[in-house]
Amino acid sequence: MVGLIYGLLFLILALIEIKINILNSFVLFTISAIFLKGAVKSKENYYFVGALIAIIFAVLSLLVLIATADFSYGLFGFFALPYFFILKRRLTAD
Amino acid sequence: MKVALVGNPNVGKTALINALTRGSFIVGNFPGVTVEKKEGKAKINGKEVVFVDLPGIYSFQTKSLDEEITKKYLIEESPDLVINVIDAANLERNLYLTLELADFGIPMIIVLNMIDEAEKKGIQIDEKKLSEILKVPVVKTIASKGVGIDELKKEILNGGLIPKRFGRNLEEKVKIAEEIARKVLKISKQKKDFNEMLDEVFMDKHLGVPIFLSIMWMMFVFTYNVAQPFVDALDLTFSTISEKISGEGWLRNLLGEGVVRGVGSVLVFLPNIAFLFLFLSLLELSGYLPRAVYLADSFMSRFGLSGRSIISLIMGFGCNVPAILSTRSIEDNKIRIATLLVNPFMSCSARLPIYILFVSAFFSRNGSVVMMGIYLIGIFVALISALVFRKTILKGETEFIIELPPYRMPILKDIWILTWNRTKHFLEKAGTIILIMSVILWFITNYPSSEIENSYAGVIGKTVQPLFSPFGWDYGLVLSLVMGFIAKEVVVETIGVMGLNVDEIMTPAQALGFMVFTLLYMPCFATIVAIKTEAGIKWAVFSIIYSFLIAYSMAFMIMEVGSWLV
Repeated sequence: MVGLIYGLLFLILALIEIKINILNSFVLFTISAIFLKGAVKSKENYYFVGALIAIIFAVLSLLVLIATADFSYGLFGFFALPYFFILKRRLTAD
Repeated sequence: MKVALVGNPNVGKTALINALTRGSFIVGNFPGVTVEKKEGKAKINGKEVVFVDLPGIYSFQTKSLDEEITKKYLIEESPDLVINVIDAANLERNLYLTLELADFGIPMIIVLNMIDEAEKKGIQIDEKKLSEILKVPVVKTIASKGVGIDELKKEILNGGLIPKRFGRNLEEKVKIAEEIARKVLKISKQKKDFNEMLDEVFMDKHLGVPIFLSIMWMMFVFTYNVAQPFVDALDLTFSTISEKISGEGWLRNLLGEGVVRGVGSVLVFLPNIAFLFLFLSLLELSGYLPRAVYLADSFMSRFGLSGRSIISLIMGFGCNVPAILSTRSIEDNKIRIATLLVNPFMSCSARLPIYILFVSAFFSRNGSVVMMGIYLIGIFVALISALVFRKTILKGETEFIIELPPYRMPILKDIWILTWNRTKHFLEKAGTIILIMSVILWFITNYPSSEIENSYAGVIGKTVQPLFSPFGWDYGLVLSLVMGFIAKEVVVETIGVMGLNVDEIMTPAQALGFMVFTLLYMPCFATIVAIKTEAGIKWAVFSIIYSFLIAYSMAFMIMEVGSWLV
């Protein structure tokens, strides 16, 4: 359920981002697709990778904002941070 | 005391030698990082020990060049001790080489490296039993974290023991390796394999390619956008220094307009190059890069290349010279030649300043997109060329095998070593060849007349210009291409020394054509020498002619298409 919500969140972000930068939007679509496929297959490893890429993209978006003052909705990828740590603990547990 | 490190590829030999010598050899997370033997010295309890890092090999049965190097070293140099480094998680496969090494009769120590990763997989190894069977000391280590290094040092000082020989031929040795592994291995409950879980997503048949493209896009944003403030700061610094120094008199002119402006025009792109290498290092060390390659498995084998050629192609993003040397690990000679011939199409870091210069001048709004496009064109041309070669002049069967390393959290020290070693190469070139070229360029642009049109540079540029008449490039740009033969960075340097404002002398379509031409046209001098050394003069000449023809036709095509679009 949480994965599905994240999938939809990134889908909305991707749609908003299209007007700003199409390739950033592509990345957000990809993140959304990973979460949604995870929801379809009910597999947490998909959520984990989706969250990982979302966080990396958020860090990059923040760096770009600082360096060039260009905003990207990729910044919202930080929302996936708590979920990432929960999943990491769960997936790497014995 | 001379100690040789021998083992399968990607078992951590280089990490181990770094731990033993506190050295800074480049560590990777894919097979084939070491292609030549490297030496590192250390003092253990006052005794000087020379460690020799040999290329990773699986056996002595095939005829690849790296196996030849290792074999030759063991026979001719006869080291005092061999450290056989074994990936603890793949004991059985590694033991086969151990049994072959025993035949050399050299004292040996076995190192079970990356023991933590084996334990994560629920694998326990009884090292005492292994030691009893093989009659050599066995030490467990985690080289990247320095675990077990002190114990290993003690064993090195003891000098190791001559191992017991097992089996007379390949079949017997394989069987014995299986038996030994069965005796010493204990696999407790199978833990969830985190690597497999990640692979399921990263190599998903629908999501794998979009993930790869997303990561590639992030790499170019990081290289171009994030590095920009540093580039601007360096640009301002060099311009200020150049203006301050320049003045009356040839010496001031040489230093200001020649050396500082020339070297500066290349050095301003240092942040871009360092950022690109940083990102590539993260991808390499994390273990993602070979997976990205594996993704292409279904269509890659159609291009007639092997898994090992792909590693070499990836290395080409850094510098084509070591990438060409890395083809030594390819057993099939025809695949090896095909790989080294297409390698120069992979855009090396020296070409990055050219793209950034033109992208900033013409496509600043979509800079990262254009740069990514240029890199993709390079990959596309390399693969198509490989296909053509393998279907015609280098015909043969292809077996696509690639070993996937485990995912690892990159260690800061390894990231630093990898990034710094590659960036250092760029700085060294700036201090040597680019510096010399800046003096030469200054001379040919100022003599016999200070007017560029009538200088030697003008004469050379105008002489060669008719060859490029379909492109309509200025003679200064043509000269930069000629000079770029020495090293690709010199293209930007020539433009800098000649004071060309590219946005005033060409259209965006011409700029696009120019970038594609510099991507594909003849390899730099060092790369040609590497091709000659590895494949012979015939292939070096072929490479020059082939790449020039490809560059010419592709640039023309791109320029035509570009003129419709831009």
